[in-house]
Amino acid sequence: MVNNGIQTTDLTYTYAGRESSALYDVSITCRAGEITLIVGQSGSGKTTLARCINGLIPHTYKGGTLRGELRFADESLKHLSLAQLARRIGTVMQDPDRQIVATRVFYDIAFGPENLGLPRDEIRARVHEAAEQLHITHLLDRDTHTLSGGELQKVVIAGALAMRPRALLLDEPLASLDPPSARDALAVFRRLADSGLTVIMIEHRLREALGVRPEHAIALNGGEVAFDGAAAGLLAWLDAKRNGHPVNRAASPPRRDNGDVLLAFRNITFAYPGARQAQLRGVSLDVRAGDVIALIGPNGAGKSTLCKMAVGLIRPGAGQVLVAGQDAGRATTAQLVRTVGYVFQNPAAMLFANTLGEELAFGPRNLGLADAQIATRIKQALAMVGLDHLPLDQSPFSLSFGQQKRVAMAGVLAMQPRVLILDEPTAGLDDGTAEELLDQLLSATARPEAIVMVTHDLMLARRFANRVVLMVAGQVIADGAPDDVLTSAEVMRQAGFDPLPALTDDFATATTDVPHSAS
Amino acid sequence: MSHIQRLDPRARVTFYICLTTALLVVNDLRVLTVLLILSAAVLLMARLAWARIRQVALGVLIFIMVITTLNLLFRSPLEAAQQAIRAVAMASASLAMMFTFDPADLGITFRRMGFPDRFAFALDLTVRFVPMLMRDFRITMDAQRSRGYELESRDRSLRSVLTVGRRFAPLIVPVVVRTVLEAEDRANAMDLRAFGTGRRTWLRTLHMRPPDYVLVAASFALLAGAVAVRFTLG
Repeated sequence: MVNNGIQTTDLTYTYAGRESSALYDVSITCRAGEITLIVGQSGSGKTTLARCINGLIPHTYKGGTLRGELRFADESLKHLSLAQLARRIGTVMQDPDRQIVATRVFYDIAFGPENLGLPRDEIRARVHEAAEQLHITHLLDRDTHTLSGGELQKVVIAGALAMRPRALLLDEPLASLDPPSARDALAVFRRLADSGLTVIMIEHRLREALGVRPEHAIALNGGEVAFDGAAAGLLAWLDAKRNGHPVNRAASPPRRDNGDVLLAFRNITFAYPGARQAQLRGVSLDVRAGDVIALIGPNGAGKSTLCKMAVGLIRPGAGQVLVAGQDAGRATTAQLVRTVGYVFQNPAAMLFANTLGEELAFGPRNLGLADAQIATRIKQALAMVGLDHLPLDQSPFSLSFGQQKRVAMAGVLAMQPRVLILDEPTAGLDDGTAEELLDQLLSATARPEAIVMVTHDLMLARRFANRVVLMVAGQVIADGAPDDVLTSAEVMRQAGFDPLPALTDDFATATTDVPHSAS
Repeated sequence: MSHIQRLDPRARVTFYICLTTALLVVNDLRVLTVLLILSAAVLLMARLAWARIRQVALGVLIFIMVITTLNLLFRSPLEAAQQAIRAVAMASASLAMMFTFDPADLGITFRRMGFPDRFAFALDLTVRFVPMLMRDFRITMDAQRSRGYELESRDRSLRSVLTVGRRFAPLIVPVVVRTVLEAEDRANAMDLRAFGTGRRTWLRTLHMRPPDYVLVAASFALLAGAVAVRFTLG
C-alpha cells in the first residue's frame, strides 16, 4: 500500500517491570495531509502510542518490550535516532510552559535547529519561517515568561516546525487553552494539515477537537484500537457505546430565586501592583443558596481573582466582599474557609500527606474539629466524590490524576463549606470522567448549598449549571440562565467565544456513518 | 544600555569572580576599603534604578546589619568591620552583576568559557526554573491556606525540629513532588528537539573587544595583587 503518512503494524509495548501491555496489536494509518484524532480515556494507551511514534519509546523510556512495525512514508522508524526522528516528527505536548526552554521567544524557536548543529544563517531563516507560519513574528523579541497560554502554545508549535518535520504529533494541545485560544490553535492545525503535514492529535476535549474537522478518528481502549474510521462516525459510535445513558439530561436542580445570599461581591475593583490595567472593574455578584454557577470568560478576565477574594487570598482594592453576611475584609482566610471552600485546579498543588486519611483530615483538623467528627466528615466527603471504596491508608500519590482531583475536592468538602468554588473542575479529565464526577457531586444530598465552577467548558456549563456568569476584561457582562447566556451570539462574541447552538441536543449532529470496530 | 552592559559577558564574569575572590582573600582594612570603593563604583556605573533593586538591596542590607551586630557582640570590632566591608562590597558587585546580566547570555557565556553544552544549558534552564518554582510555591501556599492552614502555629508548646518540619510539609511536599514530575516532561521535551544528540550551534555569538581584554587583564592583576597583599600584610 502506498502511504505517505505514519503507519503502525501490530504495535505492542510493555513498560519495564510491568506484566500487562500498555499497547496491544495496534495497527493504524495516519495519512499525510490529514488530521487523525486519537481519543480514549486516561490509561487507554494514547500517551504510550505517542511515545512510540515520536521515539521517546525506546530511546528515553528504556527497558520495555516493543514489538511490531512503525513506518513513516515507507521508512521504518525503529532504527532511527532521536535526532533523526525529531527532523521527521515534531511533537507538541500538553503543557506549553514545560516545553519552553529559553528566556526569549526567538531562542526558544531556534533551540531544535541549534541542537541539530545547523549553520547560524539557516537557523535564523528557519525561525522566521516558522514564526511567519504561525503569525507570531511580533513575539520574537518577547521574553517567554510574559506570554499568555495561547501565545506560548504557538511558540512551542513554531519550535517544532523549525525542525521542518513532515508530521506533527499533538498530545492534548487544547488542555491549557481558553475557548478563543483553542479555536485559534485548531485553525493552525487545520492549516498545517492542509499544507501536506501528517497531523496526529491526541485529545480528550473531544467536542472541541471535532471542531478541527479531522478526516480520521481512532479510539483506544485498554491499549487496543476500539474504533478506527471516519471522524464523523466517532460520535455515533460513542453514543452507541453509552447505550441507555442519554447524554443531555439536566443534572442540575432548578434555581431558586429566593435562596439566602451566601456570598456577595459589592462593586469590587482590583489591580495587581504595577499592572497598567485593573483586573476587576466594579464587579457585583450575589451567590445564593441553590445556585450552581458556571463562571466563564477568556483567560485574564478576572474569574480566579474574584474567586480568591471570597476566601481572602486576595483583598479587593475597593468594594466589599460579604461572606454569609459578614464583611470578609475583617476575617482571615482560615476563618473564611469555614463558609467558602476553594478547590484549586491542579491537585498536585495541595496533596502532601502519606495517606488518604491524613490528607483528608488536614482541612477539618485546621478547623479544630475532634477526631471522631473528622472521621465522619471524611466518609461523607469521599462518598460525594465517589471514592468511598478506597482504603484510607492508601497514598494519595499512588492514585490516577482523575482520582487525585477527586481527593483534592473531598479534602475541601470535608470542611463542609456552604459555598464550594471549583477552579476548572474538569481540566485534565476526559469528557466521560468529568461528567461522572460532577454528576456525583451535584446529586449528593449533603453537597454544599451553592457551587461556583470556574470553567472553559461551555458544554459542561450548559449541562450542569443553573446560572451562567460571563466575565470579560474585569466586568460581568452577562448573568442568567445557561441557555440564555450561552446561545446569545451578541453576548458570547464580546468574550471572543462562539455561541452554542440553540438546540440542546448538540450530540445529534453526529452523522449516521457506520463505524467499523477493530476490536 | 550602561557601559557595563557593553562589555563581553565573559569579561564581566571574570571580573566578578576575581573581585569576590580578592575580597575573600584580603584581611587588611585599608585594602578592603579600596575594594569596597571599587565595588561601589561598579554598582554606580551599572546605573540601576533604585525601584528595581530596592527589595533585594534592603534584604541584603538587613542581613548584613544582623551579622555585623552579632560580630560586634561575640567577636572583635576589627572582625566586625572586616566582615561588614566584605559583605557590602560583595553585595554591591553582585547586584551590579545580577541586574545587568541578560539571562539569555548566561548559557553561551559559560559555553564559551569552556564549559560543556549540558552544563551551560543547565544554567539557562535554572534562570527559567526559579520564577516557576516560586510561582508553584505561591499556588501551594494559597491552596493550603484555603484548607485552613496557617503558618503561624497556635500551639506554641512543642517547638522541636520535628514539629517545625511537620508544619512545613504541606508547603514543601507538593512543590517538590511537582518539580520532580515536571522534570520528566521537561527532559522529554528537550530530547524531542534533539538536545544532546550531537554538536550544537549556539545562535548567540560573543565578541571580545580591546576593552574586554583590558578588563580581563586588570581582573587577574587585581586577584594577583590581593594574594600578594595577603602574604605581605597578612
